[in-house]
Amino acid sequence: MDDLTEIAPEAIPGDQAPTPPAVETKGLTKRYGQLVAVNDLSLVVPQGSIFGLIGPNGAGKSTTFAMLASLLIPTSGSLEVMGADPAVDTAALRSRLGYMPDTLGVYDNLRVEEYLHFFAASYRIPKRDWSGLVDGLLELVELTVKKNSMVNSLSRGMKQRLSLARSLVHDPDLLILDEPASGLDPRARVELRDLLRNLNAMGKTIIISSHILAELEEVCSDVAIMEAGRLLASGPPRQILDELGGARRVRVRFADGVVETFTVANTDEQTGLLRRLLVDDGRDVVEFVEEGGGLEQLFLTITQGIVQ
Amino acid sequence: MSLTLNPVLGRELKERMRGLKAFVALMIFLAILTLTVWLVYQGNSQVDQYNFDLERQTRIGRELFEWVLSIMLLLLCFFIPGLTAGAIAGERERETLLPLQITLLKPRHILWGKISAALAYLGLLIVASLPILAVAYQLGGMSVLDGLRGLACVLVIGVLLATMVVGISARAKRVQTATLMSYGFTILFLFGALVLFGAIAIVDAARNDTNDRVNPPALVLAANPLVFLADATAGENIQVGANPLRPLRELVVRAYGENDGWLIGDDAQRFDNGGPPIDFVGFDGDQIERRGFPAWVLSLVWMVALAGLLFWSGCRRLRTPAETER
Repeated sequence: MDDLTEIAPEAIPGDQAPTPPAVETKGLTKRYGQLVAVNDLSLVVPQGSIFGLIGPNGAGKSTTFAMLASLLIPTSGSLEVMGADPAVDTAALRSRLGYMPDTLGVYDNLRVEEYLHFFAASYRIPKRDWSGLVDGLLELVELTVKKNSMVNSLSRGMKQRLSLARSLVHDPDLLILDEPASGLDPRARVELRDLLRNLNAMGKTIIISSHILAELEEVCSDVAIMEAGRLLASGPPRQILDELGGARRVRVRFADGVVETFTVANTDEQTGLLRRLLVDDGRDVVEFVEEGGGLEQLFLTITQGIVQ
Repeated sequence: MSLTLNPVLGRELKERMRGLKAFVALMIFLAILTLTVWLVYQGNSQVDQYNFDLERQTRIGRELFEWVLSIMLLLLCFFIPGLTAGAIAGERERETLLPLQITLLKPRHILWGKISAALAYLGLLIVASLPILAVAYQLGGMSVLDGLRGLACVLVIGVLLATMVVGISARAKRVQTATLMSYGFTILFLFGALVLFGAIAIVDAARNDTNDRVNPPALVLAANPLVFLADATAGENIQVGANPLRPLRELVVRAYGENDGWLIGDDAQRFDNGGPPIDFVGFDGDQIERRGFPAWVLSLVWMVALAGLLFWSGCRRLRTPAETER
């Protein structure tokens, strides 16, 4: 009781105003002549989440990102990003939004430090703050040793990280990253994943697209799957797997060396199975692994490979 | 009010000065101007090199001044498309335009940064050419005011042309396309009005009507940067020697005289009645009184309008959010 009395009334769970979503689209559509790049997309990205947008090439992910980033005007539908309409409150939104397109977009004839200074100036950050800002960003993306190197001397992975640092230069609340892991080696991918987790822990909402589904599965709290401009599914990966993924196989290895395979319908059944084996049956489980499944399996199950 | 450097200008200057292109262009520019001085001087010094003749020396000086200015202008018109056609198209091709557009910079800031960078480089070229122009001053062919006026004209034309080329660049997707479009445009800009004037004159002459008052309107000539330079630098000592700008001045006077104004026939007189009288030097050195706006003012208005239009068009092309990806 003593603990409860110390909690301020507004901090009592359930008594707080609901946090508005970072992004909310309703019936968002983008047409290029006959081609419908994004078709009736209704999406909610919660604040503070890492949201993965998954889809094959031509699914409309980059077009969706361009609309979210206030670069493209939707043909129809409504769009709200950080509480602002990108077409109306463009400048206000851009000061809170970091966008990294699926291209590197770096100036080869500048030094790493100069490159970030240029973008700091472009976001009207006072010059006196540049030095500390750049040092902090380079430390975050682990490029401090390259501070005075020419951009054209960096590897692709380093350029990718520099692009990420660029999109963070004005300390945005929302980060939109279009294929940030493309072209990276395995080590760089792991580093990027850790970096995304760090940024999320700093309170930033991250929307990310990637072809490497296993990576998204590890970092994303929510995902949306698109194909041919349409949204096929959206929500936490586990929830989508349960709803659409169908039955999954679980391989269990016991202490006596016996290996058995079970089929379960969803996550609840999977948890129930583990409890039954451990508690009810009292068996010594040394390994409990889901076979196949995951986002990749789900992606293959619900997409049809439609190319527009 | 705080004066802050346009970030695009700062970046452009860093990138440009690090590259070899700017240095090589400067060397070529100075080498050609030096060669021009040498050729003009050699061509004249052979006439009577053993007797000092002040008038002849002044004439050579004037010729040198006008040749250097003319060649300087032509060289700039050659360099500007090459150096600035990739301003926006290059950003697009290097895929750096999107990150730039998503910042708080407005399209006009981006374009103005590019134009300022061109202006800075033009300034460098012009300052570097001052010692060459000083030769004409030494010979008495120009006053300091003549020199300043001439260089200001070249700089104005250069900046306006750079603005036009940057505007064209904003509409092109590839540097190659932008370069071709820019050179095509520059040729039209430099010679289009003269060709049009010639074409109208030919059509007019073909009518064979000696009493008609319909002649090629002199206003067409005003839409030309060379006429701007010729008219704005018309000072003393221009009635003698083989000055390269002299034929243009004469052409304007002839066209103006035949129409009694900048437009055609009687309409022109109505247009010009309110203008101040301007002394103009004719073919044979006679002073001709002309009423109306000076040619350089009309040229300037035309060039500023054209540059403004292309700048506005470039800004529109870069504006986001847009219907299509820019």
